[in-house]
Amino acid sequence: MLQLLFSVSTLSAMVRMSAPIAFAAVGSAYGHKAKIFNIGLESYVLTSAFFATWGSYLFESPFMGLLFGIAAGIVMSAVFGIFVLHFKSDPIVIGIAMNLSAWGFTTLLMYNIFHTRGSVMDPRIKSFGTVKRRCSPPAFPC
Amino acid sequence: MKIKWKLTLSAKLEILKYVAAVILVMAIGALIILSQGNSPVEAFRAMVVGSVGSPGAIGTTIRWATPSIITGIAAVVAFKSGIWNCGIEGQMYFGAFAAAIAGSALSLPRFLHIPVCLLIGGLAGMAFAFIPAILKLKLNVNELICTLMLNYAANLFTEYLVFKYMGFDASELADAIATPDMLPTARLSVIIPKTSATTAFFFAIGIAVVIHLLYRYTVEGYELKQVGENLRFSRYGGVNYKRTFIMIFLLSGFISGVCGGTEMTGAFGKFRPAFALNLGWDGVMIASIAKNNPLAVVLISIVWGMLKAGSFQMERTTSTNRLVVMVLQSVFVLLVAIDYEALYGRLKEKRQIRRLRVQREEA
Repeated sequence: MLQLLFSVSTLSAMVRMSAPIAFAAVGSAYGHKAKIFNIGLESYVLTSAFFATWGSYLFESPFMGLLFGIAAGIVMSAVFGIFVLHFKSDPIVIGIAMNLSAWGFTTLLMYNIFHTRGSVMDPRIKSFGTVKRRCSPPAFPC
Repeated sequence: MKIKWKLTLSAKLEILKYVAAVILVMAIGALIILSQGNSPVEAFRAMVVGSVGSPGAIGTTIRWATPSIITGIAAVVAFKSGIWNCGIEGQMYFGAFAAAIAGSALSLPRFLHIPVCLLIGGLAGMAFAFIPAILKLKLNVNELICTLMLNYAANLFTEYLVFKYMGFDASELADAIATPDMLPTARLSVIIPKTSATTAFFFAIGIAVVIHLLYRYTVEGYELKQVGENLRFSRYGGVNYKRTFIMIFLLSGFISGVCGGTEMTGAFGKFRPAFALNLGWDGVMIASIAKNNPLAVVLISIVWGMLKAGSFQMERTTSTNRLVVMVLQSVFVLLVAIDYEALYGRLKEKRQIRRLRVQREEA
């Protein structure tokens, strides 16, 4: 059991799954410094993930996907900023509403653009390569 | 004697806000439906037919309005006192599980069985709401995050409890993973035949009326309201904040548990894991649209139920995606959350400054 917990596959899965959470947390830390409690980060991540997939699909390169994702994140947080800072609404209500609307919005867009309701798998979508492992566990660290 | 009907400025701005939000939402909805290649008129007509077009449609509307009312009231009870209880869904899962077990394991005459089921559901929700309350009081944990995370915990833990209680292992069919059927004495009676609209609707309206009376006519309700509006003033006025805080959290959890109980005794009849998709978030959105007013929650929940029932019909007849309605609901919440009074104040200020500047230039 402990062997399973500390095996290489667990550690690599840990690194893989913590990447989006770390990104969202670091982004939110900036907002927290400005004393705005943003609960709508899920909408940013979801929307930018969708647009990154779409960008990678259109241009067959992960970097264009990255650019699309960054632009989508900026637009979503600009919407949040308009509602919270300019119209002076409550950040928590806006965050919750944005979470739900992003879920519906990306599903609608996925249906419109990719014509599928489940997941989108296409050989045109290129992603960044995985980090190559240079030595195997008995010799770790090498 | 003439009665003067004069609307104050803030009332006029409120009406303007809601009307503008409705118009904008309908415009955005028409745009989204057009972009999918369907005709908005057809889609809206399908929605109206699906929500009030036939007794079956009205039954579906009532069936979906009931949990919205109860979760909306649970959210109102928490938000009106300034407590961000977003764990309504988790408390609802626990209440539903407890009510399903009580419904299938006990055997009582009908007029006892239903109240006992609902009570046990409410107490289970209340017990689950105790965890974030104690954490906030003793360790100053932010209750928003605590309840948000406990939502997921409740969802998965009740699934685990179903496995344990029924003795399944992971090889069971997904459809069969449920608690045993509740006894017929535990099921509420249906008010419109051949639909799932049950007398839970009257329970829901009863709860809303009780909470409204609590806030309006009792000292406890006044204290709960004050705590939400101005904490320091209420402390100075002698309100015991610790006791009030626990009471609000437990009341909110109780009502969420009762919602789970009514879902079990009314429409579902047995507990299936992850049965309620986003019902808790519906309650939060309704409470924020209704500005924490219990009677407005009833009205808006009925509109919510109409939207949901209509969206099913719309998806069936015009192949528009059902999620359009969810996007429109969230956009409506966003638009209604705008503070028109502050905007109006700023507009007046700018006009004043411009007028003063013109006067100064003339002089």
